[in-house]
Amino acid sequence: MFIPVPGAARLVPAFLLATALAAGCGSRAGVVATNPRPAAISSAADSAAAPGATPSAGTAATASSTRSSATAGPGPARTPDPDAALLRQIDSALGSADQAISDATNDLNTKGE
Amino acid sequence: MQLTVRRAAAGLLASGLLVLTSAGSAFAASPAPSKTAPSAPPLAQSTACAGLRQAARADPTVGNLKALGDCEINRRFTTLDTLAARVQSATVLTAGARTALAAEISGTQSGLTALKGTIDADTTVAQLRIDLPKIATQYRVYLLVAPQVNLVIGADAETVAIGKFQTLAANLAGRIAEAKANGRDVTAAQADLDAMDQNVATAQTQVGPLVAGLLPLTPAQWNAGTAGPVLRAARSTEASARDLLRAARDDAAACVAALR
Repeated sequence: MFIPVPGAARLVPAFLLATALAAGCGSRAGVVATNPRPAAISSAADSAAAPGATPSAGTAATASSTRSSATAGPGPARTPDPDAALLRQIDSALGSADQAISDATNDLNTKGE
Repeated sequence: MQLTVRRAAAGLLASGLLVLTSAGSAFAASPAPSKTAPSAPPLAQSTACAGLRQAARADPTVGNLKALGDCEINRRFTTLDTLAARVQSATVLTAGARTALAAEISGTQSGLTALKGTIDADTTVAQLRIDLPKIATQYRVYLLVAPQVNLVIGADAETVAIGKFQTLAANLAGRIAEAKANGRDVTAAQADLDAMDQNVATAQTQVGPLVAGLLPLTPAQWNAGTAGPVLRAARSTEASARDLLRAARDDAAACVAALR
């Protein structure tokens, strides 16, 4: 024999609603929590930073990042390309050298104090 | 005795011009615009004291000469602050180079501070005739310290790049071996890697001795004419090494592309 309990009856729809909301937000929360984006963004930045990189490489990585944000699950984490990271670091060091040589050139072109 | 006094007075009158001549030659010179790097602002902005220099030349009083001295010292303080910030923020510098450059900048600031006190205490044109040129000759902020700082940063930046290239070479060699084991033709990738290695090795030979030759340079050496050639040679060497490393960067990109 079923004995209705008014309080519990009110709780059931609330529980269902909360579950539905949690599932809806879960796709975003999942992305934030497990976050596959840094790897994708890092890869995109590495590719974009490389002078030899084609625009499509960066675009593709960005698009991939966007897709993984839009899907519910976090998906497999992407490992940044170690060579791309090294190339980016080389570019950064050579940029510093360029600037320093340029500044030194100006200094040495100074004719007096 | 009277004759001696008269001679001294005549000397003082003459020295009024000599002060300016001496100070003029020591301070003079607007930096020539760089043809190779127009974007980098020169540190030596000697136009900052141009008005005071003109006034001291037209009317070489103790007051005018002191004002010129203060201006010249102050603009060097500004430059040294800029250089100190550059040294502090240059992530490519080794700890040893950073310490050495910071000490040189700090020592120059201390010396100029002491000289400023001396100049402020001077009461005659004759004293100022001796002390004002020291602002330039004893410290060589623009002709020695500034290029020294920039060239050491440049050399260390290239050394950092060389280290990264060496890691990259090991990675690429591994990838080539793996591709070869999988039956791929790696001829092009191997040629690119060999070219990269060659360029990096040559650059390393060039850059290796630079910092050890730059850091010990002194204003006295600049005045004697021995520091200037070292600075100019270092700049040429760094530019050459930078070009080799750029070529190596292209080789690396080609190697990576060949392995795709």
